[in-house]
Amino acid sequence: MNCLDQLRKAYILSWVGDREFVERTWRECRKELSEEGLRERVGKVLERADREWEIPSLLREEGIEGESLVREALGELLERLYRTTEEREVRRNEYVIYSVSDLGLKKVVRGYCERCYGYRSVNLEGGFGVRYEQMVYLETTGDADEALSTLLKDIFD
Amino acid sequence: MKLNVSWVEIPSEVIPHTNRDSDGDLDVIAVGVAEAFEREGVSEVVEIDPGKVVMAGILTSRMVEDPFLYLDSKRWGGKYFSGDVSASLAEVMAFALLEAKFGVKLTEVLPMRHVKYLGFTPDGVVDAKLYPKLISFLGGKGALYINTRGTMRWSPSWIIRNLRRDLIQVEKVRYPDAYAMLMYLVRERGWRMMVGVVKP
Repeated sequence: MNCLDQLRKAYILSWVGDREFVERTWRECRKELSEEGLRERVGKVLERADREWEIPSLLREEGIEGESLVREALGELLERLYRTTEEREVRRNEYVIYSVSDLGLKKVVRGYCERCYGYRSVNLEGGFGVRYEQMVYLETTGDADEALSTLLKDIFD
Repeated sequence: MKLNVSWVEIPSEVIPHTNRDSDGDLDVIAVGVAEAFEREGVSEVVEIDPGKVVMAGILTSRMVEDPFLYLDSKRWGGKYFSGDVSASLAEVMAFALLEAKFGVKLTEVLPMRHVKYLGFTPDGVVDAKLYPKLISFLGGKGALYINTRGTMRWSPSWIIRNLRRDLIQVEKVRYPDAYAMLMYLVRERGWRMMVGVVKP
């Protein structure tokens, strides 16, 4: 998996609460997603620009391309995920990595399902469930695991 | 829900970039685009699935819990939310619009609003070459940068002021040969999204 795909996955797993994966991505990808000295170079350009709207062409003149800036920003995003991801108790089964937050009456399930695709929404006991590509989200007053298998039924039958 | 969308094209060459251009150019463009939004009215109505708005809400910058609930007009307190929050709501609808109209997967938009404080990126980027509908809409392929803002009330001065700022912001990464969409959600006018499309 390249670092961009891994970051996408880490972004969702950060929401699920899988801190371990976020940490691993951070270790493996932070070098690739940041460029030594880029921010200083950008800073110099900002100092040099008299008028704000000249900044874009001055950046290109200095050889700083849009893609490098985006990569740098994504590196910073990864740093932030690493610092801010809250660890939840993560459960795993054959298909899904997920966490269950118990809000008293309601339970909220957040999940990542590698092999899922497409979009599906269902009504659940006292709530609803939505699945979009690899992301799984549901709220229910009933049993969380049962609700999860209802939502994923069409894929893994 | 139905989102009323206006599209206005902004060719890259009219945007000032070098010292051959002048200070007034940016004002002229901003005023011109704001007038075009008024004149064009609604160019198309896009049907949006509420379930996908929930998912978009999870993938965007999550500055508010359950952004979907806040999209309700009586909850959206306009100015008692900071620009950050109203822009997050606009971001949610922007992702949902890209999904509904161009088939852009919500999970494939790289969100950058979290790190906007770096000062050199807009709110997100999409790889346009993966989506045939986007290629034919834009008339080419490359990176598509998106920038979003939201407001409760429509006013030309609001959009003029923000177009000036947003154009500079997206140009930092877009110039000279990528694409950009500047997306403005105006809640007061129903579900209204005004989009300025910058093309090279």
